[in-house]
Amino acid sequence: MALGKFHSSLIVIIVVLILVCSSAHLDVFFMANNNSLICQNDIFYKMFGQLRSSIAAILYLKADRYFHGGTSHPKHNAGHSCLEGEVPHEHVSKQNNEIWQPVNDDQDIFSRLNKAISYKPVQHLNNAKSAEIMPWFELAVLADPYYIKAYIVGGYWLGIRLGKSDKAIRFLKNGLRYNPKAWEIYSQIGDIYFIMNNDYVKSIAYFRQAYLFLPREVNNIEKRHVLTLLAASFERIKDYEQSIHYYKKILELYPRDNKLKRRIQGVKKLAGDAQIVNGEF
Amino acid sequence: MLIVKLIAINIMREIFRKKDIYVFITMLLILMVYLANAAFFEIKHIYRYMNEIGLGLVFLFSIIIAVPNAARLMLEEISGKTIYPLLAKPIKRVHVIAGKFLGSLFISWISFGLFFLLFTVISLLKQGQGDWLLYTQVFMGGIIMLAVLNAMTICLSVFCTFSTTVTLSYTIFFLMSWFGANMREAFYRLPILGEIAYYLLPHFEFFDLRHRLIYEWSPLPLWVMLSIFGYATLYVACLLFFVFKRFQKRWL
Repeated sequence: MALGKFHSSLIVIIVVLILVCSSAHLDVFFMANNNSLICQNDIFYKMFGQLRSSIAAILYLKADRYFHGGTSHPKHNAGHSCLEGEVPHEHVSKQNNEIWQPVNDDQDIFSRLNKAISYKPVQHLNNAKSAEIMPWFELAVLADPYYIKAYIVGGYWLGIRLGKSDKAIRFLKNGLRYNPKAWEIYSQIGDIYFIMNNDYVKSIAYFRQAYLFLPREVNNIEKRHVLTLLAASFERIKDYEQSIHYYKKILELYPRDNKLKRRIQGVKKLAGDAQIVNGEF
Repeated sequence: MLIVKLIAINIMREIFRKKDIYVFITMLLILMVYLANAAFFEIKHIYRYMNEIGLGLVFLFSIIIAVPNAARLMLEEISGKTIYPLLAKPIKRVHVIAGKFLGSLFISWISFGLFFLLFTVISLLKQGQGDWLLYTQVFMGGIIMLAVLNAMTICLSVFCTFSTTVTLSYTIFFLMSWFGANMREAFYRLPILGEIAYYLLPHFEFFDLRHRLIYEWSPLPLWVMLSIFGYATLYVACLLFFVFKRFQKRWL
């Protein structure tokens, strides 16, 4: 809660500065033309460049706090934050939920007062209220257009959770302007086209770009996500050859995945049936 | 009491002569209207961001007005030698302190009240509805906070120069607001001294109830509000008593 109040005060000042500068088209943060050599070697650019990233990170964390309804994030062993996935807090036992504790009788009056004022059991916003987190993503990318995480998580929430796929795609495409090689953003756009719009042609285009820019050091889970949806998109448009091609790429990463092997067999059967239907023997 | 009231009224007139409050009201109005009309992703019916930023500005501007004003009062009087005719009236030193404190307090309260009113109007227009009890509790928290802040600043001004007073006041205020809740363990590592320091420092985090309004938590129970009020009253009384004792012994 202390960190939250620190964030709140700092955020107020930062947001006001950002809004004023963006409204007045003041490029104090070197947002435009930051690829020039002068900018790269300028000490103020280097200072403000890092400051922008820090500000964007603070604003992103604000979205996380909003998602938790102002409560602090409990410590648990989930590999990713709640904002990025569907991890509920119900599985976090009260013992592990260090923030929420019943008031002990032996604590002094100040601690009891503090707990009464500032603490609440961890919660998630319901769907109706979850739109409240969105302004912080927009402000984060306004502070630092190179903060990719804000694009992908904001795009996920806007496109998939709130069902505003057109706005989400526009938001993500804006992110691509500044981050043309960000495979995560391509992947997120592909997700929205696949899941929300059922536009498999476009999802293929974006997943292909994501796969093209996927660095080697990215973990297999992320690679699998891209390849799976790419293969599934080809399957939807009945291009079974390409679908099998990408499913086999996943098999190279997970050679013992029997479920995947059955899936490939299933697609091969579909391909065979399709050939029969088309009169190809 | 009349003397105290006259000193306080004289100080209160300052707020309307100076431009600070008008500048802050204008800034707050512009920013609140901008935020109220900002359409993030064209999503309607979201307002928590506006409450957070708006309330943050209300408190920030109030503190910016309160601290330098309170720091200046005693020091200006002493450095300008106007304290002598005042004490020659005769006005007791305790009346001077009480009058100065009340004057700076009312300045803080008036400015905070105006900022908060502006924020409340725009916030409720945007939201359409609100929990009046929450708004009242946040307002009361702010009022009480300013009382303690003014008392602390006046207390520091009796010992330090203007710039030192302002710096120390802001430092103590922000440190305690942000980290006061988590300081208990750190202070308790130093036996006795640490515990004394923990209880002696002003716990501004008790008065900051903004998060309850922003995140729409339930209103605080009565015992909490009464405890906050009681703590603030006791703290302010101790500080003013300390100021009076120090000022009484001070050679002018």
